[in-house]
Amino acid sequence: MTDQNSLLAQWAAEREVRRFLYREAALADEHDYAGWLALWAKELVYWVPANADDIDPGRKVSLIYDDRKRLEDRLFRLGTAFAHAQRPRSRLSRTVSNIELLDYDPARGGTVQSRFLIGELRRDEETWWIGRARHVLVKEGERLLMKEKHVFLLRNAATVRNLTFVI
Amino acid sequence: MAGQSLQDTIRVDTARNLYKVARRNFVAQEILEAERERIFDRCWLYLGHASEIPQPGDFLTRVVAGRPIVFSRDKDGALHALLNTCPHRGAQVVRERQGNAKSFQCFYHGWTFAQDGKLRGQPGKESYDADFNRDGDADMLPVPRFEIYRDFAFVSFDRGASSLPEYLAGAAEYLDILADQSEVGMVIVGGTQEYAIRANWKLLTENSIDGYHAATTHATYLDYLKGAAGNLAKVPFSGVGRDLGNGHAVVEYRAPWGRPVAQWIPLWGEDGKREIEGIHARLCERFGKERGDRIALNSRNLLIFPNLIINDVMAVTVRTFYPSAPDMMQVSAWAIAPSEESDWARKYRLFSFLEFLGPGGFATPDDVEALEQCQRGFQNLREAPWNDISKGMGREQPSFDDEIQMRAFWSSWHARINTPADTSGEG
Repeated sequence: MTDQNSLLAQWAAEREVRRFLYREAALADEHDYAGWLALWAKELVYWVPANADDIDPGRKVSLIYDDRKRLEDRLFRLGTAFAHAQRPRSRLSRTVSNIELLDYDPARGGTVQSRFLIGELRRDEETWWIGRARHVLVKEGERLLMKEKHVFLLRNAATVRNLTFVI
Repeated sequence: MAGQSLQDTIRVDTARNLYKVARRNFVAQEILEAERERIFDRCWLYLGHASEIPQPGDFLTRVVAGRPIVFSRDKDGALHALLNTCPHRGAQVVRERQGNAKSFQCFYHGWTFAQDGKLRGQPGKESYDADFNRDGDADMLPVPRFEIYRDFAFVSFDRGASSLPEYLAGAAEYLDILADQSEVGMVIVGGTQEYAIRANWKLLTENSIDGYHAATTHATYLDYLKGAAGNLAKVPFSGVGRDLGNGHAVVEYRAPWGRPVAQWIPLWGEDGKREIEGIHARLCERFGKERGDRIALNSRNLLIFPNLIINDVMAVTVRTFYPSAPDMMQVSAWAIAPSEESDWARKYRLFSFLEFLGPGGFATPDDVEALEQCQRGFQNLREAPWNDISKGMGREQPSFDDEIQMRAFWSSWHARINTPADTSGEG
């Protein structure tokens, strides 16, 4: 017989992760940089590889490979009036789905995989960003935080447009 | 219409030091067609770097001026550039982006070729005459011209093109300066950044060697460097712009950012200082102090006409781009580094590269925005038909933030666009 308590715990963990990812998506779409940054743990990796999903970012070129300082600078820059590529800002709407908890412990966190579809409208140009995300989440007290976020673009080996919003 | 308009693409008034470029050059379809025939089909164009296919049997595929090309290294180590089309019925023979193979096989009918393009076999060989390939026309064709300068491989689709070193003119010295940064050989650091810009390709040529826009367009990047303690050396921007002949040009200047070869910044710490100073000292040992300092401390933005950019700045990027329409280009960019560089230096190099460069960097996206805004502004061209690139024209030695580089490009562009193709040499 299935252990109902373990099913319930699994459901609760999935719900917590799902709510976290939805919240993250909303803050990113709204360009709420402070709110989005608050979802991160102190030490972090924010990575968008180029060409393939399994490159070594220390040896090969990525599109984005940020530590905390670089990410804070990125968000600060986007918040000024002089990040010309975001004047006007992109209008964003994203869907996050196919959420899978991989190697995940509700008490400590772990790795979560999901798929995303982001519509970007800037002036009269509509761009679709499609791909897979891998989050490494950690539980700090009652809160979930992102320790790592890896974004694997469908177009990682084809030409992309400016990636100047939070993906 | 076309005949008259090709003449009136630039206006130069030497008495008043004025240099104007017609905005029509950036928007007209017939200009793009003239460029394809008179520039991209005739100039030497960058194919790739020898370090990208280091082992016998290595190959990669790339599109150069609209032609799919195979860049390969044969079993004896010689490099080849082949037109990626089966001599039999036309299919692209090599479909992978890169790899290693003993031979290439066209999957359509199974013809097989060596890495130098020579036909090795075809199914049903007995159905052909014994001397079927007597003239080699069943081999994969090489590009008409293929030459390598210090590991930089170029192709030309013009059989009558001058030799590569002759074409490179004063730009060859700058490839030397880059190649000399390594005692073993420079390598393309794995990976390509590829991005699209809704703007005419020549806007990126101009922008890549434009020392004038940095202080405004990239104010946030420079402020960002200034804001963090230890990010900058105590070196003000200063330097020169040069016309290198044949449309090639460079800006060469001192800048405050850190250079892995070799300008230390406090952020890199004492260990970093030892390493960077060691690299600098070794350059002075090999080339004398003057040239050693020049290689190590100067930054350089180099244009090799028409569309190869090598920017040796806080990292080194090699960038090429092609138009798919008058208002659309596709850009490919690579990082290049000394192969013997330490893991530490390579990490910092990539960190600096991504900070500034590429679609997710702190600077490139703003350049993209600037070029796209130019392209939009050109919609006013009937009433506002001219760009101005006169800055520094009256000066004996133009500064790095003058516009002599653009004038070098446009003067050569104008001469070439007005030279009809010589069809007699076509094979």
